[in-house]
Amino acid sequence: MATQQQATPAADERRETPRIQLARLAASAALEHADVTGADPARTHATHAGSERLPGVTVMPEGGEAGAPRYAVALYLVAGLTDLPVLAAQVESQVRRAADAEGLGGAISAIHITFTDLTLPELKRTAHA
Amino acid sequence: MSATETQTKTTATTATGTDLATKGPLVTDTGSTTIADGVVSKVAGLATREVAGVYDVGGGAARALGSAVAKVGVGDRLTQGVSVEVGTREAAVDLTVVIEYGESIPQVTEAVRQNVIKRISGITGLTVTEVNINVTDLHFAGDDEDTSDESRVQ
Repeated sequence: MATQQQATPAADERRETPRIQLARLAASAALEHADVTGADPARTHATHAGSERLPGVTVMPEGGEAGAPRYAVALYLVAGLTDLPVLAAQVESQVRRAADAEGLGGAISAIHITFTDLTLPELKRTAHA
Repeated sequence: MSATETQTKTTATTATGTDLATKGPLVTDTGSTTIADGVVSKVAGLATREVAGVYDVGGGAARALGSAVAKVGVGDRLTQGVSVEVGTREAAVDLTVVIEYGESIPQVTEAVRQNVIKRISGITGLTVTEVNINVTDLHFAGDDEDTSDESRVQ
């Protein structure tokens, strides 16, 4: 009996541009971090992939050569109360790892992260100085 | 060649020759981190409320409005009475506070100043250049009791 191996229809049919692929993986990688609690609550920054809206991420062409474009990725995130520069470095690292896994690591020229809001814990009162 | 002529200053630089040391922790070779004004305001408001002796943040009108919007679930009381100016590396903070009666105002405001600087620099990486505090009112223990007027006549 002949067997047919079918490729995943969604993966074949998607055929997304590198820009959209980068936006998708950057947003996904950022939101995986435990201290990132959301993206773009003001709904002002997003990448549109056909009818799909990828919130909190924009990808802009920046430099590169013909046939090897490069992009600057901008993320707009909501964070928990934590060291934000450290969190930004960790998110950047996660995004670059995700891009490398998809063969797109060389397409990223820069990653810019904006923390638009904080998710806060209960207030605590400390001793008077 | 003299020692002064041969002395060179070793400084980390970017590929474009920019001195990394002057850029702070928010700008690197591979990208930048931006902290929105609202984030700094929230941290400043939190840090102010952490200090014992501070009854509330915000002047009379701001507090009244803040209570009203908090009741209907709109707006953020944490940022009322807080105004910030945020740059790429530095921030300046203006606060309006109400202090508990009996506390030393200079001591409380200095404690607020130090805590705000510590929290903002620790959480955002920004350097706080100034924290200006305006004490607009004192809170007395009995101020929150129901003081509705009861008419002496009917």
